[in-house]
Amino acid sequence: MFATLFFYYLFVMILASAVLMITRKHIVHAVLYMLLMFFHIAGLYILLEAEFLAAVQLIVYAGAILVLYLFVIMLVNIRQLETLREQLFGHLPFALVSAGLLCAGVVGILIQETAFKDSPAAVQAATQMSNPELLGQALFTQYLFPFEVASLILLVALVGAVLLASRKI
Amino acid sequence: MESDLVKMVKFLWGYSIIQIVIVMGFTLIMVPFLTWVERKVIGHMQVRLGPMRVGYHGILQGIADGLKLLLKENIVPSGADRSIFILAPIISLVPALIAFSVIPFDTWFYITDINIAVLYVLAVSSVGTYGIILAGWSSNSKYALLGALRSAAQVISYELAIGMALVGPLMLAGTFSLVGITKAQTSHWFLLPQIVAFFVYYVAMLAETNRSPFDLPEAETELVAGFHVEYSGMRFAYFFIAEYANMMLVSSMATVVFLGGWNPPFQAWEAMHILKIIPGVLWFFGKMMMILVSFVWVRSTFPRFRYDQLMRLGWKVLIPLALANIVVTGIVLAIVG
Repeated sequence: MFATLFFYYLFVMILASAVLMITRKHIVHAVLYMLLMFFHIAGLYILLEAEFLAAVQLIVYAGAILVLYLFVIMLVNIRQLETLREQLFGHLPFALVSAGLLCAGVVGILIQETAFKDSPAAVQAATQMSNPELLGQALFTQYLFPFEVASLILLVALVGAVLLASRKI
Repeated sequence: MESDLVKMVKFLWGYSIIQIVIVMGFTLIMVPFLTWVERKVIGHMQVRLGPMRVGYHGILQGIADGLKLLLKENIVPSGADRSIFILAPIISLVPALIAFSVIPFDTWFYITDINIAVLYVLAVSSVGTYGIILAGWSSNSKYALLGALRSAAQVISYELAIGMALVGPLMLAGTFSLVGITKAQTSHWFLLPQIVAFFVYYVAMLAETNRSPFDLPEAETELVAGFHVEYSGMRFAYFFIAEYANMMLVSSMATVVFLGGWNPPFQAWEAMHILKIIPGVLWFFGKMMMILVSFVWVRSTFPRFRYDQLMRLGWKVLIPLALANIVVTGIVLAIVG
């Protein structure tokens, strides 16, 4: 009962803050709505018993990435961003296509879930992973290769960023 | 064996609302007391008396200051972004207070024990940065903005060092739960095996709370008062309370993770078990106060860092040290355990 109510609260808040985020005129207000959305998404993770993911969501997205966004916004001239706003509806076709693809993906998963009845076991296995210990074990044994590949990609991005920055100086 | 008072406290403790009121109330009451301690300790270190007028040796000075700030006018500067200007002090205070919900003060004296407590504290305290950035940005003042920019860069850099310094003790304890970490230190504290991590954590926590010698965001000689230069009255007091609440938070974390939390010292020796007569809360409080006084000691001893020195120390000294500590701890654990 409480979980259902909490879910509907999160559902409304995530949608509302996401819509407000892309429609606000002021870019700092938009970032604040994004922060609000991140918090509610973390709430969604907690509801799914993925506490580790919820904490990491806040540390990485709210604590580091969004702070960097704000940092950059303060350094650029906001008036230059006025032109960006006028182009908002110019991106409509791309937005529609990507939203449609995402929607198709979600619906596809839902159909698959209902078609094959083995989903509850998979969900249960996933929720047991919420314990950080089990998650760590899975990452370093079963999924070691994808995990290392992901970290290598991040390293490449990091080195690339350093290279781009140092060339200009 | 337990006195009636302890029994009554433990009975009332059963209700979470009472737990929250006690922990929050304690935190907020500590703030005026800590401001008094800070002014008094610095005063004596500089061979003067510090506050003397209000109450015995000025002990009520913090409360008098608080009342004064409560009665002052709240000014919103013209050209400020009004809604964010009002929101910023709240954003900086609330995370500092809610992080206390996972700090274990004694075997029974904690609000909740969750399996990701350390990550929770890191996540919640990283949100406090927004208060500082938004305050500086919304004030429409260049001093405030410069202070906020410095603070954002500083806090992001040192958050990494704090997170990595905590990994070593976490590996020894094998859990994210703060109660679990304290229980793992019953006979040996993590201070000695993790002395490098403690050093990194200590330096980084000074920077994380914007305390001297890392108080560049509010360097009064250059930026007047940094990010909160335009704030007055109770909103200014909010930032003040948030700073002290954050200081208490990082020192309680240091107490729990490195100094054994509620455990008395020297428990490896049988003879020292007599120290358990003193309740765990007092041990915790004593260790926390020791770290808090050391904050003040550092402030009255060291000059402020320059900005490039600050960044170099964070990225080129503390983070490599913390990483090396993780590697060494891992190797030792692989050999011994």
